Parts: sequence; C-alpha cells; structure tokens
Amino acid sequence: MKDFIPFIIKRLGATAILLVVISMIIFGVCQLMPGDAVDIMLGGIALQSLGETTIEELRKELGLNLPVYQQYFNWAVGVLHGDLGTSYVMKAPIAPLVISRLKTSLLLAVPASLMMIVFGLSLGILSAVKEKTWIDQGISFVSLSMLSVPAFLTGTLFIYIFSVKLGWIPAAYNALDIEGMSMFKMLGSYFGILLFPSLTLAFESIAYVNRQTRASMIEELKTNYVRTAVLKGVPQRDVVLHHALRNGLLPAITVIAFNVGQIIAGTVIIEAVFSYPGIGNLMIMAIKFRDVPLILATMIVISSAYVLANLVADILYTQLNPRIKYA
Amino acid sequence: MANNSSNQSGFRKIITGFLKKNITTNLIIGGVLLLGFVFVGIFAPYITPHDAEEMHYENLKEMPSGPFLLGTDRFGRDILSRVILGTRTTLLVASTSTLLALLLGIMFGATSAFFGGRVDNIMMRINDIFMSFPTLIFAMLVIGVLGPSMINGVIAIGIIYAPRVTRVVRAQALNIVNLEYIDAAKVGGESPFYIIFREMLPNIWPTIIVEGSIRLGYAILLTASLGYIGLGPPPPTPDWGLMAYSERGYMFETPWPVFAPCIAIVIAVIGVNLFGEGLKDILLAKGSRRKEAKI
Amino acid sequence: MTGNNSVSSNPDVSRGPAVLSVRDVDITYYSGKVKFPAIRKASFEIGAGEAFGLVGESGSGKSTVAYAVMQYLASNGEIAGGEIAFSGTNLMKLSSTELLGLRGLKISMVPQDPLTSLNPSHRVGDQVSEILKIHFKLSSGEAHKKAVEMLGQVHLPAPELTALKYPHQISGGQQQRVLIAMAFCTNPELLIMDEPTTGLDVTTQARILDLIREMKKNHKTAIFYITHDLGVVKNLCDRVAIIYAGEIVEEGNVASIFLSPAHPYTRGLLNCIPKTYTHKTEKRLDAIEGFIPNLAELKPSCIFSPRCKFVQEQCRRQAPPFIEIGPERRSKCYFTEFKEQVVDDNFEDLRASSPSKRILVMVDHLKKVYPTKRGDLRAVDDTSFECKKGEILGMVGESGCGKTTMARCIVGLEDYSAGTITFDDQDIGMVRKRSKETRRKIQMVFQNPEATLNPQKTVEEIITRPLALYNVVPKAKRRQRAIELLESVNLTELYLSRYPHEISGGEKQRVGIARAFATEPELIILDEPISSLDVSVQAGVLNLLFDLQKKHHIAYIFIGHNLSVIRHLCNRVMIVYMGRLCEIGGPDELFEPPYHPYTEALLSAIPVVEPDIDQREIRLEGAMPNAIDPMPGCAFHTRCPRKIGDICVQSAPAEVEVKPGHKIACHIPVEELSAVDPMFKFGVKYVF
Repeated sequence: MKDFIPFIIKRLGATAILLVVISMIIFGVCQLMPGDAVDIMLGGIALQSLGETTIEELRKELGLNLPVYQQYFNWAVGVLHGDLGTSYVMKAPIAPLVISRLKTSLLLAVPASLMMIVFGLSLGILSAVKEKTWIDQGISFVSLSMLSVPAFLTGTLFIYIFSVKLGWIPAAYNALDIEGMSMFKMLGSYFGILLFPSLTLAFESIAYVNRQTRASMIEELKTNYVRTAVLKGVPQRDVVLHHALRNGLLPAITVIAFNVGQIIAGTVIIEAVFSYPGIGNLMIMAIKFRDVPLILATMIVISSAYVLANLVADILYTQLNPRIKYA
Repeated sequence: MANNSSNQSGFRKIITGFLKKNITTNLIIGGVLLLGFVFVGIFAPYITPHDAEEMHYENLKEMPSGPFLLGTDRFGRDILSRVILGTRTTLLVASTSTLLALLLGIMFGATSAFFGGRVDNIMMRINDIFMSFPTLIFAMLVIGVLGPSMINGVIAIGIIYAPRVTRVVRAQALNIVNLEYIDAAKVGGESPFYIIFREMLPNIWPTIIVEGSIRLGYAILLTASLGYIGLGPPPPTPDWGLMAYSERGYMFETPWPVFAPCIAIVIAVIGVNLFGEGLKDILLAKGSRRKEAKI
Repeated sequence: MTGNNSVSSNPDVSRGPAVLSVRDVDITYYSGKVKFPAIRKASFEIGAGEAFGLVGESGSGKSTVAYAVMQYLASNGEIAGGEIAFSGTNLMKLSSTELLGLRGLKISMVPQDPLTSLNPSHRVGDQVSEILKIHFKLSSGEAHKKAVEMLGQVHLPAPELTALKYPHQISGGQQQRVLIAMAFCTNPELLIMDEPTTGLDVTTQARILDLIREMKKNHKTAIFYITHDLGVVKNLCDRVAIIYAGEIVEEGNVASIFLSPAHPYTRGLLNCIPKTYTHKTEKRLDAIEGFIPNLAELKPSCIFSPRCKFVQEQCRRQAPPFIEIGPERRSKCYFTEFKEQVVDDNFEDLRASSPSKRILVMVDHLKKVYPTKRGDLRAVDDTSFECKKGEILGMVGESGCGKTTMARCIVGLEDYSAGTITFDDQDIGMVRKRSKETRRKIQMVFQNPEATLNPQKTVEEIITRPLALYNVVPKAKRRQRAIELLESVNLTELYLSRYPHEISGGEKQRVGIARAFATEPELIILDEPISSLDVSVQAGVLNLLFDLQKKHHIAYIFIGHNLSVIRHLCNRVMIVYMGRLCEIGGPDELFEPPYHPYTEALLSAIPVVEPDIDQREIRLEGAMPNAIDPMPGCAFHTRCPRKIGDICVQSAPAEVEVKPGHKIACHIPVEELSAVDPMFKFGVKYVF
C-alpha cells in the first residue's frame, strides 16, 4: 500500500503534463484557422463599415495582438480559474454553458458505459466458454454487424422506427427541456426517452468489448495454468470465473477504457442524430461557426475526459496485475 | 519434417491457404463485396443510370419504382446514381488515408521497436499523446481548422490512425526483435535499415495486412461520420454521410434518401470486415496443434 | 555404496494390484482429415510406491500417454482403443464428475513448465490450499495452515512468507516445488510428472530429484515419470519403458536396462550421451541417423527399422512382437544379441591439432552492469580469460551466471561497462564500431534452432548473404560455395531452396553452423548450440562441430551447462558463477581434485548414465544472492558447502594457479582442495 501513493502521484503528474501538451496542440491547431476572431465576430460586411482604429481596439481588447505563447498562457491561466473564455458568436462566457451541456451528455455517456461493461463482458465470457457453438457464432455475427454499422445509422433507425413510425420518442431532443429538469425527473424519464440515444451510443462499444473479452478469455482457457486447475479437480464454473477471468479481465480493461473514450467521442454523432443538447452538439456548432474559444473549450473538455478514463484504467490495470504490482 | 505454417511468409500463406481450403465463407463473401465496391468506385461515372445532379421535377420524393431503382429525393435526383457516385469519394478517402496510416505506422513502429531504449521511450510517449485524442475529435479539429475537403480528410484520418497502427506494428516487431536471427544479422554486420526492412518486416506482413483491413473498415465509417456532421468533402461532391444527414428531415415522407447511402456504408464495411476476418483466418492462424480448451 | 547411484531393488515396491494399468492403448490425433496414430498398443503397469519412467525424445508421444491417463486429451485426440485402469477402475468409463473427484485427489499431475503452470494472479499459498478446500472441504484457515505446512515439506524457505507471494516473485526451482507441493498435498496414490526438471539448473534439478525421492518414500506414492533424460531416470526410477514414435520398444527394471540395453534404440540412445570418463580423443559419439517416421503413413515393418544399425530383412517385412528377455524385461526386437561392430574410433592423437600458443581473444577484467532502480545489476563481474588460436574453450555455468552476456560482449552484440576485449592484439568495441575484417572473423551460433533462421528466407539466401556482405567469393561462385558449406554440415544441395519451416530442428541448427562458417572466421562463439536438440540429434551435431573445428582450425568458445558434453569437446573449460570465474583448466583437471567447491557441486549434479560409476553427493543449500546487492566477498559464499569463515564473506578470492593453465579462485588452500575424494569412482561393482 505504501507504494501506492507515490505511484498515484506520479501518474497524476504525468497526466497533468499530458493534458497541458494536449491543450497546447489544440491551441496551436486552432491558431492555424484562417481568418481572425474579429472577422468571425463581426462578419465580412460589418467589418468594412467600421473604421480601422475600432478594429484595432477590438483586437487589442481581445488580446489578439499578443504573441501566441502569451495568448496561450493567458488562456491557460484562465482555465485554471474556471474561466473558459467568451464565445465569439454567443458573446457569453463559455464555462457555464459547457458545464451544463457536459452534464446532459454524461446523462447519456455514463449509462452507455455501464451497458458496455455489463453486456460486453458477459457476452464475451459466454462466447468464450461456448466457443464454436451456435451461441458463439450468433453472438459473433451480431457483434460484427454492430461494428459495421455507423452510429448515425443506428440512431437514425431508432428514430425512424420509434419516433416516425411508433411515436414513442420525440424526433428531436432539443425540444425537451432537459436542462431545466431536476435530477429525479431526468432519471425518471430515462427509460422512456434517454434509453435510445444511450443505447445507440453503447452499441459499437458493446461489440468491441465483447469481441476482445471473448478473444482474451479463449486465450486464457488455453493456458497451462487453466490446465493445472482442471487437473487439480477444480469444477468448471470455478475454472472460468476464478482462474481464467482473473487474468482475462486485464486486456479487457484496456479495451473498456479505450471504448469509454469512444463513447465520449461518440456523443458528438449521437447528439447530432438526436438533436440532443449536449456538449458534442456544442462542438459541432462551434466548428461550423468557427467560434475559436468555444472549439478550444469543448475540445479540451472532451479530451480531458478521455485522458482521465485512460488514467483510471491504467491504475486499475496495474493494481489488478500482480506481475506489475509486485514487480 | 516440421511444417510450422505460422512461420510462412504472407504471400505463401495465402497460396497455401487457398490450397488447404482454409478459405472461409467470410473470405468469399467479403471478397466479392469488396471487389464489387472497387469496381463501382472505379467505373462510377459510367454506370450511373441517370446523371446524379439532374433534377427530375416531375418525380419528386418518389419511392423506388421504374427508372428510379432507389427512388428520388426532394429535388428529384436519382438516389441510386448519387449513391454510386458517393462510392468513389468514400473509397478514395478511406483507402488513401488507410495507406497513409499504414505507412506512417510501419515506419515508426518498426524503428521504435528495433532501436529500443530511449528512442523507443520517446517515440511511444509522442505516440501516446496522439492516441489521447479520440479519433473523431481529432479529425474534427484538423478538418474544422483546415477546412473540409477530400485531401484534408485523408490527412486527418491518416494522421489520427497512424498511432494506432504504430502500436500494433511495434508490438509485433517487439516479438521479433529479440529473436536470434536478428542477433545473427547484427553479428553479421548488417545495417539497421537492412535489418528492419529485409529481416523484420517480411515477418510482420500478415499482421500489417490484417490491421490494414480493420483500419479500412473504420476509415470508411469515420469518413461517413465526418460527412454526416458536415466535415466531409463539401457539395457538390456526393458523400454518403452528408446525404444521410441532409435528408433526414424528410424521413417521414420517404426514408430512401437517408437509408440508401446508409445501407451502402453498411455493406461496404461488412464486406471489408468479413474479408479481414477471412484474411485473419489464413494469415494469422495459430498452429493447430495447440490444445484447445477442454474443461 | 553411498550416493544416489546405486539402485538396488526397491523394497518399497509392493506387488499388489497395479495402481495404474495401461493395456493396449491406442491414441489417435486428427488433423483435418488426416489420422495420426500417435500411440499404438501401449501397455505397462505401475505398482504402489513404484517409480516408473517413460523415456522418449520429442515426438515420441510420451506426454500424450500422461494426458491420456488424466483423460485430458486435446479435442482433436481420442483414445481409440485399449484400457486405462486406476486401481481397478476403468478411467475411460468415468463421467466428468467422477473424474473431478479423482483428479488432484487420487491422481495428481506435475506439469512441465512451472512458470506458466501457475496462475499469475493467485498467490502461491492459495493455489495449494485451493486443492484442500475442494477435495477435503477444509475451511480457509485450515487449508491455508496445511498449505504452509506442505510448502515447508518441499523445503521452500520461510513457507509462511512464500505462501503470500505470487509466482513471478519466486525462482523456477521454487515454482516447481510449489507444483510438487500441490501434487502431494492430497497424498495421491498416483503421481504423474511430465518432465518436471526440464529447464531447471543442474544443481536445482538435483535437489528436486532428491525431493521427489523423499516424498515418494514418505507418501508411498506411485510415480509415473516422463522425461527425455536417461540419467534422471536412472537416478530416480525403479522401472523404465523406452518409447519411440508412439510405441514402447523396451521395458524393464532400471538396473538391468542400463547395464545391458536390449533394444537397438535404447542402445543408440545410451551411446549418444557423452560418457563421464571419455574425452573426444577417445571416442566419437554414436549418433542415430535418420528421422522419426511420418505417423500418418505407417508401414507394417518394425518402427525403428529405417534407422536401426542392425536391421535385417525380417525387420523390414514385419514388426516384431515383444520378446521376454528376462524377469520383467521385454524388448520389441527379433534379436537379443548384437554383434557390435567396432566403430573405427578416431584414435588419432588429436593433440596433434591442439591449439597454438598464440592468444586470439583476451578478455581482461570485463565488467557489465545493467542499471536498475534498486542498483546496478552485475551480469559480468571482473572476469578475465583468454582463448588461444584453434582452441575450444568451454564456458559452463548455470542460468544467470553471465556466460551469455560475456559471449554477447565478445561477439559485439552488447556494450560492456569496463575492461577490455582484445582480438588479434587489437582492442575491439561493439559491432558498430568494429572494422569489417574484425566482424568477419568473429561469428556466432545460437541456441534456439527455431529462432535462429529468418522464416522468410530460403536456406540459400541465408547462407549466401554473409558471402555477399563480405565478398568472400565473387558473385558467380556464391551458390557453389553455399553448396559446399551445406555439404560440410552434412546437408545437400536440395536444401538450398527450402524454408526454415520445412526442415527439422537439427537441420536448422546445421544451417546456422554453415552460416557461421561462411565468412571463414577465426573465432566462433557457440551459445548452447545443442541444448534444445534431442539427444540423438545432439550427438550428430557435436561430431560435426568437432570435425569442422579440426578441419579449419578455428577457435570455439563453447557455452553450455552440460559438463559431460563440455568435457567431451573442449580443450579447456571455465566455470562461471554470478559473473565471476571460479575455475579454469583442462577438462580432466576439472573432473579430478582439486575442485572449486562450485565445480564440485556441479559435478555432483550430473545425472550419470553409466551403471558402474559411483558419484559423491553434494547439494547446494541456500539461495542465489541478489546480483544487485554489493558483494565484496566470494560470490559463492551464500551456498558454499565448504565455506571456511568470514574471509569468504569479506574478500573476493584471488585466482590461484594450481598447475600451469589450471586456476581456482577460492580461499581454501590448494592442498586442502586436493585432499578430497575424487567425485567419480569407476569400475564400481553393480548391485542388482
């Protein structure tokens, strides 16, 4: 245990550095955008009607005349204080907007991740134990199909069937006042409404996790120590759950972490399909309108979530794998 | 005489695989689909029944019938023709970006594994940084900044998939780099370039080919997804994703403008995935003497 | 008659109903449509308290028999005929629940590879107590206590602490002890052991064999011991069966078989092993020519006839039945008497080709450390030696002693931290900094035949590449030279177009040797070149190496762990322990006193095959020290049975020259070292 604290600290430190580097990359890429903030804010024609001096003042006010690293530094300091800048287009502070949108997105992402873990693992284990039977073939086939279908298609299909044809769910979620709802109401309405975007989000990841778990469990069941367990007289259920799973879970953790990231990224598409007011949709809008501070903020938030998910998985992996824990 | 098929070269394996009838249905179906798509992609402009842009004002929003095998959209354009043309775009972007990713991945992965030590450490750190971006997000960033176009799409997708390929190539290369024939080459005085390209890579081809086919599937999906959110090649270039997005508002009246391109995407990806599975069965089959799990 | 070598009739062997009775068992494997009759009509019995050995080379099917007894064949194999009975019960008729009740309880198994046979995520103690919980329904606490007790019985240090460790935290020998503890903890009636000491050091192997003997005595277990090592069988088993290509060809009690082997295959195997008291000047090894037949295309002839030196017409027509040649002895051969042709021994005095006095390679105070988090790991710790032109220098040591590291430094694959390596009077560094000429002159033969050739290249490409790189011959002549090289390793032109996966392990190793010789080097380093080969193949390769050396007058540095082999081949031998030199001298000098204490222990651990040799027993207790901790004294003092006192702990011994060319690094004065009994006494009367 005493090794744990310095280990965590080292990890957190490395993650922090990673986040800084990522933010620099995103910032840097955004600088490549042709055109200037002022151009964006004012639009071409309005620009011409203003005088040069006004434009210059505006530039100075926005801090656009400063060298790049200075701009970055100012922005970074701001972030640490919770200030994510001001949107060019909406002319409002970004932070509160991003936070509330993030909450709504999490409402989809968290259940989706849970579904992925539960269904992915259990189906994977089942397939591995029943390898080459029709159960296995069936699950494999379904998985492969799930992986071949783009998320927007599944979402669109859901909408088509359940909204257009059956009218169970609204066709566009921005009509729902999700942001205004209290926590309870949100969860309550979940199964009626939020299930579908969540499920769509989870779809691809369930298949991914399932296939990986199956593959690693099959490998486990071929190992020498599983053979030893069988020859010791350990009953089948214990061999699978107690011996094989313990080791087979490890590669699955890596895949699960990767897919949490995929789910986070997948909110972008899903929110586009369902017109769901989450952070993904916000990002699309930001890009469409070239709202640089907003692009920056949404990108950073989403990337950070991904990095954090990987960090958790990393820590879990090293703790669960005795070969690493007790090197 | 030992006959350890898992050590044969990729090409020989394909031939031996065919002869040993290792061909699975996966391979056949996938291969057929893939060939079909490539064919359509190459000859697209010549096989469209109608001009993709031509608007038939008398036949707005029609269901599949008569001259319009997949119906028409709200502008009266033949959906089948548009989907056929879209094949070209998607295939071009997806395959070029996959090739780019493979090339970068091979270079970095093999070199990193061969040199090991600090070089490997640094390269992998950089690799990890790039892997910290979810693919879609990074692609959105790059295209959002550089502007949507086919070339930018290829660059973005190629760059974002390169680290993943690097990981896979490096893992395989690490398996080999400590084997004795590599030592023998070093003792023989071969240059690093020779060792990487003439000793190591020929043993990694199967993995690269299989990884390439997996990547291709993802590349097609990513291309379509980017098109869906408006970051694909801009109109008038026909793009499956864009088609699916722009027509969705009119699903009530006719679903075909939305679902036709979607079905095309699915069939293409399934074809690629099946073909990849089939390739995997031939190229990466582990020696069958391994005891199978028997509990 | 002391020592582990005099096997008298085992009084523990009862003659009651057989614990294991295998009768006419046929086992078939299916690969696609092809049927491989892997085991044919195997029959034998094991009585209570008896140790029964099954000896065979790779591909003989010995492990298959073991797994068949456990009813654990791969899904593409089946027992096609015969009966396997355990204490009267037919195992093949049992349901899987009934089998569960037997496995681990009445019939236990100790598998081959200890590290992969233990679950890496479970603590060692838990893996033992699990058996007790399942079969004896003990509670966690009780089971754990008993498990710790068991770990103590197998002489694991600090059993309570070891029980809490994970498999990767303990050494290979300790892992194997854990597996043995697991097998014995239920006091089974039958214990199946599948090559349990393969891959372990010789000294560790000796201790494990002692342990097995002790456990067998205490628990009266019947042991079914599978191995390829005849020496081990001789030291452990009461009866033995020899299996070849799926058929048992000879069976009988150990004593008589080793004294007078009946079947030609057994004789061949015994002849392949370098004898403990011969030298290369006295006898070439008898190899067994040919290959194991293809089991898919069996013929009615005797299974061994294609390779048998004494084959007659009737052998080729019809396979012989078993012939009883004595009490409890049978052999599957028509003949019981053989006129042994006197092999034309090369009695030429090989001292004529003895090395010159000129020093080719000199290693001076070589040090190689690997920096780790906890300190510097000393792989090579201030070692100095030289190798003369045309000399065969042997390097012997157990795993982790640094011999491979030294070899890699000399051949240029690794950098070293301190010291100098001089070749041809020139200081040389790593391969990348060496001149092309130097590189050409130093070549290497590697250990693992499966990994030594690039699977994507043909034999021709592999051999001609060095010819091209160093322009040994002009382009037009390269193919011809490649053919000559192949012929010099007893392969033919036909091999040029083959890929590595199409040729056998021994052939791959020969190609590796040809490749090393291609550049016409002056020094070849051979890193355990025959350790991964079957015994019958080893002999051929050894003979080949010897012939080539004689012909080309090349110096060899031959790394190995088998002292008999080393003795057979080398002019001088050095013994290495933890990166330091213990003893160096001629092979005869090493086998006679004065001995360095480590050399003495190594000699004592050799599984001797000759029936008329007595061998003193010396066992090393204690653990190998950590190579990271500083060690001002002798490296061996933690395990040395002759440690004299503090001086061993505090100062490293200097090398004492016992005779010109024979040095020992020990604090014990030479007179004392010379005063011990020699390790081997020959011509001992053999007691039945």
